[in-house]
Amino acid sequence: MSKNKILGFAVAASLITVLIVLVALTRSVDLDAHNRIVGTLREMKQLDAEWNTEVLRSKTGFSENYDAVARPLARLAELESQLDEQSVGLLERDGGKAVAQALASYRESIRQKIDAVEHFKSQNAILRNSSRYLPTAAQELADGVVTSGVMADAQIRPLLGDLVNRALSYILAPEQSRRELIEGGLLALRGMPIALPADLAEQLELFASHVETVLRQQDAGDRILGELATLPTAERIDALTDAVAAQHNHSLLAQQQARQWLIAYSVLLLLVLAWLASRLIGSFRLLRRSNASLQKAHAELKESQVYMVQSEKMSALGQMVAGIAHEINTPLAYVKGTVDVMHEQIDGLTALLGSCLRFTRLMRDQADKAAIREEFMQLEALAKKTAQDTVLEEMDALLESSSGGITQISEIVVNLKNFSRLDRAKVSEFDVREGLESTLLLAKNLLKNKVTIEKEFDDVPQISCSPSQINQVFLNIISNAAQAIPDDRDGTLTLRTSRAGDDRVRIEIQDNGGGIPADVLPKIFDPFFTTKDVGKGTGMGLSISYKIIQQHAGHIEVDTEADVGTVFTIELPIHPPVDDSDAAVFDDDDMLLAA
Amino acid sequence: MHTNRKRWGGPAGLVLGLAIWAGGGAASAAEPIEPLPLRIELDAAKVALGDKLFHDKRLSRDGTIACASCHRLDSGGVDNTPVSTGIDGAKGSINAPTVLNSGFNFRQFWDGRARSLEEQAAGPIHNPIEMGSDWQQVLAKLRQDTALTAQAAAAYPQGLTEESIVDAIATFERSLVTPAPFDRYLRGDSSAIDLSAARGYELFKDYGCVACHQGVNVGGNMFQVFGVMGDYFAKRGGPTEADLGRFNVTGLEADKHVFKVPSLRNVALTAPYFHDGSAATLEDAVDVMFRYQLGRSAPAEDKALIVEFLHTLTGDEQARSLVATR
Ligand code: HEC
Ligand code: HEC
Repeated sequence: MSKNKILGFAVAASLITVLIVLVALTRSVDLDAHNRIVGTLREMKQLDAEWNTEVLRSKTGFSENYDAVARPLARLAELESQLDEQSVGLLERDGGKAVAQALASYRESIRQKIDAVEHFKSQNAILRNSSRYLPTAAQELADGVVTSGVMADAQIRPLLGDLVNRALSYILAPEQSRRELIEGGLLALRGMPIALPADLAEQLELFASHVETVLRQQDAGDRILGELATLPTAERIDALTDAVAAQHNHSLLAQQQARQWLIAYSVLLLLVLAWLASRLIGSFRLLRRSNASLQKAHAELKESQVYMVQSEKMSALGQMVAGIAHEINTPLAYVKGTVDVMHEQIDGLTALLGSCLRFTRLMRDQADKAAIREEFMQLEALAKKTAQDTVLEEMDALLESSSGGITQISEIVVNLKNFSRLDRAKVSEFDVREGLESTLLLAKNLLKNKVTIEKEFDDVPQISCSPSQINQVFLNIISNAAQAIPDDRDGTLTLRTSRAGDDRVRIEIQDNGGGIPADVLPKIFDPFFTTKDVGKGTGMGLSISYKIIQQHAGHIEVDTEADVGTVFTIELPIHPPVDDSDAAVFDDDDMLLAA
Repeated sequence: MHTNRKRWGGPAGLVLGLAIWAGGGAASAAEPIEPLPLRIELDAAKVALGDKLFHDKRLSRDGTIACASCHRLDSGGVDNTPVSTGIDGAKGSINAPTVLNSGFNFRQFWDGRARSLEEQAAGPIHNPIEMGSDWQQVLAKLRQDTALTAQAAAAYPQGLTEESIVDAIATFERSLVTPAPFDRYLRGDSSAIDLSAARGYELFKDYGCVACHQGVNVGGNMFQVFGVMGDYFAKRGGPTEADLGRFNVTGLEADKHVFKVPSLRNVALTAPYFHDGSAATLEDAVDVMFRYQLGRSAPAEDKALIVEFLHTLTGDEQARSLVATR
């Protein structure tokens, strides 16, 4: 029962678990999360493009400061950590590797880009300063040369002019040939065979180093811009987007599959539920039907129980009648014999009486002496003979013995009466010992010869009960016990009475028979159960006994051991609780008895 | 790691009205320097908490140093010494930059090693010669302060944690915005600065200072080598590890002696100058800039005008007291 329950519970739990898992699977794709990632990626791409634009604006001098170039850094970092947070779930799932790879290569490229942009800013600022300063520096140098009075103006001016022009055009078109020309010009400038005053020489060197700075920064700028142009950040974002999308599609597919499974599973579950429901309805119907038939059977059983009780009574009665007949027969035959004998004696006495009458008449009539004498002689002879034959003594003895026989019969009748007490009030004070005694008497012929009765009667108070019913119980148990004792054994039946606590009386009926087999034991109180041959017993004896004891608010127990014997222990309350049901039982019984 | 501020998205996003001069003049579009924004939206509860923490000495191991010890808000956000003194009197290796307007820097620290203020804030706490502590110690100490814990719990759902402390301090630092007369000038109020300062600004542009010091923070948006047009370090002598600048972060040869171009806002208050604190006055600093960054010479009066211009970048008294109040 409980095992089944546990099993059922486990099955239900696993069915529900599967359901939950399937539902979870169909929910596994968080569209919002995906949209958030896609949104982040889109913003990243846009930011990347805007950043490129800002770099170009700075390069071409459209923007006056680098805030616009620097500002994306913070947003970029924010987006990156946002993406990190958002993609945590993705990386764990199928296809997470591809996403992680795409993410890593994006990071790599964006890191390079950040570095490149940093270097671009530094480079561009310096390039612009130097290139802006170059014409001024050339002018200042030329002026210095003039004012210093060194006659180098004519040589230096065109050199400076060429260098400035070439350096500035190198910024627009950084061609190798131009670079070589510039480097040649610088060589010429530095190698001028004119001795300049120290401050001018320093100024010249400064100018030259600004030209070199322009060259260096321009080259660096070119390199950096080239790098920036080829850095595949946008492509990496696209690849990342693709990887995320691929994974998303994959998840969607899996979700769809899960949904199909869920539907299938749900249908299955519904079918199972429907089947269970139909079974339940069927069971209900069956239950109702069997309930009805049970009720009917119960009614019938009750009816038949009434009948059986009656017939058990009759059967007990039958047994009793056999016993009683036997009991009565013996004294009866005896009485009959004596009566017969006495009947035979009657002729002699009749003859004596006739002779007496004749003699007395002769005497009154004063008849002749001879007739009197003859009659006298005859009478005398008859009387003598009667006296001799001790007829009267014999008759007296006979009468006495038939009176004994009759007494015996009447004793039996009293016991019979006692047993049933049909004539008495139903519930009365009853001494169980008396009940046992009279039961023993009635069962005498069952017990005769083979069974020794041992009585261990404690003094017990009278109990309120239905004596006839209790006697019936005793009779049932005692006769069963007698039957249990095998023929080849000296049976002993021990009857005990004792008090059980303050308010109960205990009766034990113990035999030393073969015991009740284990397979029989649980059934002995069942109605219609019998070990006797068909027709020999109704199988109701013990069941009725059980019921009777129960109705008296007592109980009955059996203790049995193979080849040792059996003890029936009955406990009965001294004052049974009087409640309606008991009354009803008694009434019921009353009806039975009346039936 | 960059810390995503959105995570805490405080509902009570209070508008810190820093709009002191809603300048009416048409903004001149082509200026390389931009005025500070008129409004900055920050969570007031977080700012207040960050303010407390910024001044809290329990953030250091021995309880002697707060952020404010080196970044004195009443003196330009710096300590006005060449190198800072940390716990146990330990001398640092580099000059403390200002925390004022640091929210506008594209990177933090001279070498730009912190990508954000959040990332930066944990630095000094752990730095053995600055505050020399660690989060476990700091949290253990701060959590005994029920008032502070309650304040943190009110500002952050997670209460007082490493992240909330960092976020609160960073948020507070973002509130340290110091609009200056020059911002009003940029917004069209030509009388906001005097003529010589305006002339100084023109020179600042003409000489090319603006190639590096530009944008809303007058710097703080790029890296530059210190010594573009000459070897500053050879001239100065006594090279230190800190002199290597960004090289210490990237390890790239090209990044040797490269530093974040510092913001020049409040520069008049932040002497001494440069990462090594080598320039005692603004004039010295401008000289060095001319020599090594521009590779130019300039007449003394031009430099003086530029210095005058630099003074107009000092946040208004009113504004500074506003952001510096506890
Ligand atoms: C012992 C002195 C000291 C203390 C205490 C200190 N700082 Fe600093 N701070 C410095 C120095 C020195 C630097 C420059 C370090 C570098 O660039 O390597 C600096 C740099 C910074 C910067 C970068 C500014 C910029 O423009 O790059 C910020 C922001 C800052 N500190 C905030 C804080 C905060 C917040 C605290 C408290 C948690 C704090 N500091 C505690 C000395 C200190
Ligand atoms: C090539 C870029 C570049 C140019 C051009 C440039 N600077 Fe700088 N400036 C820097 C760098 C880099 C630093 C920081 C150097 C260091 O401390 O390591 C700096 C630092 C400064 C400082 C010191 C700031 C501080 O808080 O320590 C001042 C002042 C300054 N520059 C003013 C100027 C002026 C004025 C000009 C124009 C004459 C100018 N700069 C031109 C790159 C430049």
